[in-house]
Amino acid sequence: MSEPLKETTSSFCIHRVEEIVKVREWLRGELEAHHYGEHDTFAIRLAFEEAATNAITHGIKEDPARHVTIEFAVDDAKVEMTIADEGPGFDFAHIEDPTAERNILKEYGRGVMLIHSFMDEVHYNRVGNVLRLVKYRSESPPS
Amino acid sequence: MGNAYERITVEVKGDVTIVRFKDSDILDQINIQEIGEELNAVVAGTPNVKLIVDFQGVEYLSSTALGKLITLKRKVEAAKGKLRLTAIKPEIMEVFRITRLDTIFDIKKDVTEALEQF
Repeated sequence: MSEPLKETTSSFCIHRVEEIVKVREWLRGELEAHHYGEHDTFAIRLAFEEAATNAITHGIKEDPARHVTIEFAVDDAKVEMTIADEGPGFDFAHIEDPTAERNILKEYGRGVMLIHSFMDEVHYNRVGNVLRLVKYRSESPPS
Repeated sequence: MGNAYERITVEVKGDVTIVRFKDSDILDQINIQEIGEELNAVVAGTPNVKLIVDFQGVEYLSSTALGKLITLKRKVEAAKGKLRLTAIKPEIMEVFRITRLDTIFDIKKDVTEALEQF
């Protein structure tokens, strides 16, 4: 059986959507190193992408004077990520249902639903500008 | 055929246009913007277009990309055309199901099946 890897932690500070790619590449490497399977990797990468994009686009509205901080803790059992933006937050308890007939043909509004669907835990702080996500490994690593 | 585009390839089979993606990860916001513009350019000025968007090789797709597909569908229908999506991998298909977009788009197993039904 392969030796379990220690937990890996890292943090990033970004404020433009173009900077998401460097975080994406780091995350891809960590998921591979910890032997996360295809389904888990898809879920984690998608949730990260949606959360980071929302934080920059809606949280700080791409204001160069504000930042988004992303922290990861990756181990063999789970992946935790915290995305904190310096924006005012939002009312996360009252988000329009993107699958409703009046919304289904809108071009935006699906990110939060996808995050909830693919992550095992989704926690917002009180004002909605800090998001913590947890995905537990669902597929056994190779022995 | 038709490689005037940065993000997609275009193949024409009879009266059907088949578009494929050069990137396996359709996540990057800048790339998605370019993909959307290129898809729209394929449709522009083509009445009654029969368009297949083939997802063979696409590994990841963000919700922003879904938005571009919705825009594309709107443009195709405005041009009295038809749009089919093909070869969507299971994880991405789950995204379509969660968002109910599998009820909006005509999704086929592969290009062959899509061509047969035009």
